[in-house]
Amino acid sequence: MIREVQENKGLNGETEKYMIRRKFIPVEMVVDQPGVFKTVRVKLSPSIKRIAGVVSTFDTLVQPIVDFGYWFAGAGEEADILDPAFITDLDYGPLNTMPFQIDEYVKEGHWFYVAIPLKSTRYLSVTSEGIKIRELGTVEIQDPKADYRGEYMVYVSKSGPGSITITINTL
Amino acid sequence: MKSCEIRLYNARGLCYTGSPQPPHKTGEFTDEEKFLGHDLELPKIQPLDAANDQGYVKVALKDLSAEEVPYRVRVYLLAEYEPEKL
Repeated sequence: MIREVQENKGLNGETEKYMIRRKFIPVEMVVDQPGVFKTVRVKLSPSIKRIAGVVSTFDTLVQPIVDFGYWFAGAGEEADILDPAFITDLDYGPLNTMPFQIDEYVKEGHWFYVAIPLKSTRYLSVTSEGIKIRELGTVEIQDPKADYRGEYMVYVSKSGPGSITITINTL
Repeated sequence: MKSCEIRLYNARGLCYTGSPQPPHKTGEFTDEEKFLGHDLELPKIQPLDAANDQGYVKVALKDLSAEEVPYRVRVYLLAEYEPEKL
């Protein structure tokens, strides 16, 4: 509560003293998507006669931890397989530590596959040492064991033999 | 730095428009600053004529898509009570 004493001089020369009490009423709004329009109605107690001022501040919240989903990786005996059943049969695990690395030896006549959620490709990079990889395309995965359903970006290596080190890291 | 626009409406219409400012001071406060009050961390108060004829004020926030989301906006309305004769 902020208090202020004001003096008013009357026509007869007498001084009248008034005490004015003010307080801040806080309102908080969180903007979590761009371009929104939000409204809040603030109820004022009947004894409040006017709003004498307004102050507004903003601060940036810590970005929420992004759920990167699950990775799938493993070798296949054919090139360019874009089949959800093939991808979900590969090894898999959660993308919860970065950088994440997979070291494999790819046999002759095999191709190495890696898949990560398409939405996570905005935040993650997939690179390889040894045998080169490239983006193959996307598949729709409906796999309850991965606890993630949606589009996956599939990467495929050149054919073996050779070593490959896949590194998945945040951009 | 301009991330959104704040508007206040009373029963008769728009009575304030402005953009929120980042806090002047954050983090630790000295004992003197605590004694003087928390308004040290707030930017200047802009005068506003908002008659309380309906018992509420509507706060409207329009995001201008210039700031990365999420962010939090705090609006402090300086409410004034009826003067008391001493």
